[in-house]
This record gives sequence, structure tokens and C-alpha cells, in this order.
Amino acid sequence: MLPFIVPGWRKTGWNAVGGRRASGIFAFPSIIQSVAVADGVLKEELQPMPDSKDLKQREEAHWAKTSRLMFTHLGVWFFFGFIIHMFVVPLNKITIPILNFPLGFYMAAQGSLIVFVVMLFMFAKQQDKIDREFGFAEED
Amino acid sequence: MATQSSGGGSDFLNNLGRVYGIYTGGFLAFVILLAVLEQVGVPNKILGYLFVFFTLAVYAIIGVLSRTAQVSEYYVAGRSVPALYNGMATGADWMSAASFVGMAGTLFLLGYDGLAWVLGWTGGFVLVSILIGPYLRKFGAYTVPDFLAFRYGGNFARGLGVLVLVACSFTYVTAQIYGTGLIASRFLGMPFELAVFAGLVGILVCSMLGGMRAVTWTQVAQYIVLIIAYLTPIIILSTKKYGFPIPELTYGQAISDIVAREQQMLANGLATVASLKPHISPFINYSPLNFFAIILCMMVGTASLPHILMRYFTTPSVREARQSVAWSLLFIFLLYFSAPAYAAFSKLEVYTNIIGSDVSALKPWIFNWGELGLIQICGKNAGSIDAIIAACKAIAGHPGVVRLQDFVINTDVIVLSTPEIAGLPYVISGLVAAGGLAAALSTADGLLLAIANALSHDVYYKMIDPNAPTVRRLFIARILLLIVAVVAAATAATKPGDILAMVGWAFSLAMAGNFPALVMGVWWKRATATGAVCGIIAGFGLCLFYLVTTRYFPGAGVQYFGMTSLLNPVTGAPIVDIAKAMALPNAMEAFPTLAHPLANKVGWFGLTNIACGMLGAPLGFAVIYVVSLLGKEPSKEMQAYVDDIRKPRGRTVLEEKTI
Repeated sequence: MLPFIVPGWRKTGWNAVGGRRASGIFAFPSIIQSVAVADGVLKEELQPMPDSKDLKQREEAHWAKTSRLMFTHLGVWFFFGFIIHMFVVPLNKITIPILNFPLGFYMAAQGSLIVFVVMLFMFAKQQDKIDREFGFAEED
Repeated sequence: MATQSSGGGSDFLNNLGRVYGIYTGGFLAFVILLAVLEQVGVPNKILGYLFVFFTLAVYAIIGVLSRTAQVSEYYVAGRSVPALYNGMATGADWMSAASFVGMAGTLFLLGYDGLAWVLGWTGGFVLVSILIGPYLRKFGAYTVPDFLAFRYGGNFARGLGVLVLVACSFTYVTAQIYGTGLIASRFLGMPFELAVFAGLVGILVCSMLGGMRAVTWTQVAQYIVLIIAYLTPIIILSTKKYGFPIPELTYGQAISDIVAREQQMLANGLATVASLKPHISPFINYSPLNFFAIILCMMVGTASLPHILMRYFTTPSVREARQSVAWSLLFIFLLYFSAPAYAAFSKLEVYTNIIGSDVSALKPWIFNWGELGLIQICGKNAGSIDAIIAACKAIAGHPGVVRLQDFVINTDVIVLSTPEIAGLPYVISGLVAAGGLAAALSTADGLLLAIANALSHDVYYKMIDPNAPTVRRLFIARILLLIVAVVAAATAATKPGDILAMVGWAFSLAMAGNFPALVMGVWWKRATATGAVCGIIAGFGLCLFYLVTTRYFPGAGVQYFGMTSLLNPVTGAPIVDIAKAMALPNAMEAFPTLAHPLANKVGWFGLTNIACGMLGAPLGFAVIYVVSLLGKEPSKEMQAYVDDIRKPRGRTVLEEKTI
């Protein structure tokens, strides 16, 4: 009897904790949430399918790769958006030959902008490649 | 269905290249025709009217042809806008009167420090593409509050989203209508108040009948006009001066000439160290903190502004949404990397041909702008030669030549006067005016639509009457568009003093209110409804508090909230003597004018209030994180939806009823 009661007690105990949390200050959004689910026509095909384990793994690998790409691009963005301009004073001592721009000024006026544009085209390609690799890309 | 489009529409979509090719050719032919008319002696005023009315008529025709009775066409252009064209439309949506007319002038005045705005208003698209835009497209929302409502448990989050949206879009749209009025009144000679309402008509014909669909196709047309108008004068100028038609490359020479001339002016006594701000030296106008804070706030604000995000709801696929962001930035880049060239050429012209020239030998174009009070010499409007000579004589010890400290120019003049400085025919000036008008109208369209859609879709349909039939939803949407437009125009007609500063504020408010909740909603499944609601309130609240206190209640800010004076970026000294200012009788005055010694000049950590998003957004992230972890994990279904948003394949998460 005891082994049966103890897990059961524990289970209700956990539920009680969850229940108390839900009825505290955190309660109101969860009430509204049910309204939200009802108010659009939602996608039904979310129930676990037979190959759901495989799908789960693919989803995780896809998201890991996507996140990595995100951080790489954010790194480049941060470097050309901020870091490089912190060195504007020494960079301004260098003049670009022929065009006569001081390099620090040029980076803020054009250089970083060109990097951003190129980056975005590259990102669109790279992310699409990742989506295709895991079979999550849209049909062409 | 989301991808459905009407029969006539798909025919149009298949021939986009041809349609806009013919349109561009027609526009160029029209410009040439006007140039010929000018040569045969048609007066300038008529040319100006022809320019404005022709372009407005074209936008109106596109607007009327794109009318629609379908909800998905009205809200998201049927999700059928190809990446390239959506990029152009976003470019026009993004570049406002302030970008077109004001940006080059800001760079003229601030030199290197002005580049904070160029960087801030371009780099944000990287964040749009990487963090938010394509995911919202996959989600399938009509508006940004739609996403917040779904992800964060309903109408409370939706209401907050609408609040943030209206707060950051309304002042912005007012500024655009103000810009429309300014350009129309300057080039057509209409009274300002009348010009505002004339501009309003131009805005409404584009958007009333066809919603997003009409706005998209007019914005593409407006982009073409504005970019031709922006680049033409400066390409001619560059060819004339340096024999090479790419001004973005030749202005390097102008910059080195400016640097040399700055030294020369100091040596000749034409400028004092106090009046001269070296063009390429950083951190003279902004402290490094504020320089980088402005860049960050403008970038993150870009990725949070609803009227920009909703443009990416219109592409046929997630893939195209990403490509479209790249195209958008390319089209925006074309203007922003040319703005510093405008600034450099104008500055060189002013430094060599105005500064140091005899007061009696100034060129006539100066007086055209001086009459309007936009150029001052020796402290008086440069209305005529006699006025200036008299004004300069009145200054003790004035040498009779214009010195740098005698010369004051309004930033709006730089772009608008370049054709005259270069000695180009009036038709180019008219072209520039048409471009400025296109920039102001297109941005106003996008913003009005964002506000009206939030009110009609989110507030009326989702919160008040979820059973409203399509006809009534579209009717309400149009009526609200009209009401918002009239209210914005009425506000603009009063010429509110703070309006331009408020555009900068919009970015920080959007950043603080939207960014943490949107990013966490996609990138962190554990983010809960309560967390997000608290995060939006805390972040947006702090940013709004900082803005309102530093601008409208600076005395209270100093007295009760420990605010101190902002610092002079060069010397590091406080820019106001707080003790002295607080001793004045009007120190605690609420809603003081901009001339008040404390208004906009106090704050925490020396942070300018334009960058209040720097305070709000980190707080928003922290609150969402902590409160989410304190609460229960979001439901399995919600986490599955988030997984779904992350994968481009498959149907959108939210499918709207369209019948």
C-alpha cells in the first residue's frame, strides 16, 4: 500500500505547488491565454507523430545551427556597428589612397554600411541553406 | 487563404518589372519635358506645381487601382509582394522627410558625430532579419500586437502592444505630415496649414481604399522618385567638380579640402577655435557614451518599430522575408551613403565661397533661403545684401568679410539648396521637392496604416467584436485611418515645437517596449506571459519616465530622482549649473519650454533622453527573465508553436478567417 500512496501523495503535492503558483499574481495571463487559443484558427498538426523523436532531434539540431549563425552575425554586427568606431581617432590617421578618406570617418560613413548590406544577403543564403539541410525550408 | 490574390492582381504581379520600368522611364521623360518647358520660359512656380501634382496624381491612381475588399489584401497585401519590391517599399516606408531633407544637414553641422544617425538607421536591419522579422512572417500575424497577444496569453499583452505602437507611431506620423506641409508650402507657396491638409489628401488617396496593398505599390513608386531626386543633383555636382559621376567616392577629396580649409580659416582669423567644429573629429557634439547609445537605440529601435516589421508580413515566404530585408537595406543604403557627400560638398562650398568673402559680394541663392529665415548672417536673416551689410556693421570690430561665427544655416537647407549651389536649372530643385514629398508621404502612409490597423484589427476586431463581418471590419479600418490621419494633421498644423525630437524618441520607446518581448518570444521558449507583460510595462515605463521627466519635469527630476546635468563632451564639465538653475523661480515649472535651462539637459549617467531605450530595454530583458523563471513554464502547446515559428516550412501558426 505504502508505495502506492507515497507517489500519489507526492504527485498531488507537486500539483498543489503548481496550483498555488498559478493562482497567485501569475494567474491572469493564463486565463487570457485560453481566450487567445480560441480566437484564431490554429494549426492542428502539432500532435506528436510516429517519427516525433526524429523530428525533435532535427528541430534541436536545426535550432542549434540557426543560433550559431545568429551569434556569428551578431558578432560581426557588433564589431562593425560599435567596436571599430571606438578606434576612430587612430584610424583617422590613416588615409585611404586615391579616395583621400580618413579611414575612421570612412568606416562610419560607408565601410560599416557596406558590411551590413553584404551581411544581410549572406545571412539570407546561409539561413536558407540550414533550413534546407534539415528539411524545414519552404518549397521553391 | 493567405496567398490568394485577385485575378487582376496576379497579372500585375507577373509584370512588375515592366510596369515599374515604364513608370521610371515615364518619370524621367516627364522631368526632361519640364526641363524643356523651363528653357522656353515657363515660370518656376508652374514647374513646381506640375511636379507636385503629377507625382501626387500617379500615387493616387496607383492607390485607387489597388483598392480591395479582401481582409488579407487590406492588412498584408495578400502576402504576395516579391522580396525586391518589398525592399523598395520598405525603403520608402523607412526614409522619412527627416532622412531625405534633414540627414545631410545634420551631418553638415555635426561632422563625424552625425554619422551616429547614419549607422543607427542602417545597422538595425541586421537585427530585423536575424532576430525578429522572418519569425513574425512565419507566425502569420497581421500586426505586431497580434504576435504579442498569441505568444503572451491574450488581450492584456495585445493592449500593451497597441499602446507601445501608438506611442511610437503617432508622434512620428505627425512629424511626417508636418514635413509634407513644409515642403508643399515652400515650393508651392501655399500657407502652411493649408499645405498640411493638402498633404493629408495625398496620403489618404494612397491608403484609404487599398490598405497595405495600395500602400505597398505606391511606396515602390515613391521610392523610385525619391532616390532619383536625391542622387541626381549630387551626381551632377560631383561630375562638375571632380569629373567623376560617383559622389560617394569623390567626396573624400572634398573632406581633405575641408580639413585643410579649417586650418586656413583658423590661421586667417576667419574662425575661432570655439566656433569651428572639425569635420572629421569624433566626440565633439556627443560624448562617446551618447554617440554609441544613439547608434544602439536607433538600431534596436529599427528592429522594434511596428510599421517596419509589418512590411515583412507581406512577402510570399519566410525565405523572401529574409531576402527582402537585405534588399531593403540596399535601397536605404543608396541614400544614406550619399548623405555625407551632400554634407561635404555643401560644407566645402560654404567654407570656400561664403566664409571669407566680402559681405557685399555674397551669391544670390543665399538670399532666397535667408528670406525664409533659414540662413542668418551676423545674427540677422539674410534677406538681402543691404540687411546683411547693416547687420555686420553693427557688430563691433567686424572686418567686413563673413566669418564662420557670423554664419548660421538651418539643416533643412543643405539638400534643398544643393541644386542652386551647383548652379543647376530650377527643374532639379523641383525634382528634389518632389522627392522630399515622396519621402514624407510614403512614411506617413506606412505609419498611419500601422496605427489604424492596430486600432481596427487589434482593438476593434480582436478585443471588441470578434464576430464582425469582413465588410464591417474593412469599413471600420478605413474610418479609423481617416480619423487618425485628421487628428495627426490637426496636431501638425499647430506646429508643435518638440515634434522633431519626438521622432528620435519613437525609436527608444519602440526599443524599450517591443524589443525584449519580441526577441524573447522567439528565442526563449521559457518566456512566460506574465514575464513579458511585466517586462513591457517595466521597460516602456522606465523609458517613458526618463523622457517625460528630463523634458517636461526637469526640476522634479533633479529634486526627487537624483538627476544631474549632462556633460559637455569636450571639456567634461556640466552643461548647466544645477545649483544656480534650481535657485531660479521657474526651476520646478512643469512643461517648460525648450529654452528652460534644465529642459533636456539633465539625466542619469550623462545619458541624453533620446537614448532612453538604453535604460528601458535592459530592464525589460531582466524583468522578463526573472519573472518568467519565477512562474510556471509555458504550456507544451505554446512551446510547440514556438518551434513551429522557427521552421519556415509549413502553414503559418495563426490562420486568419478571411471570409
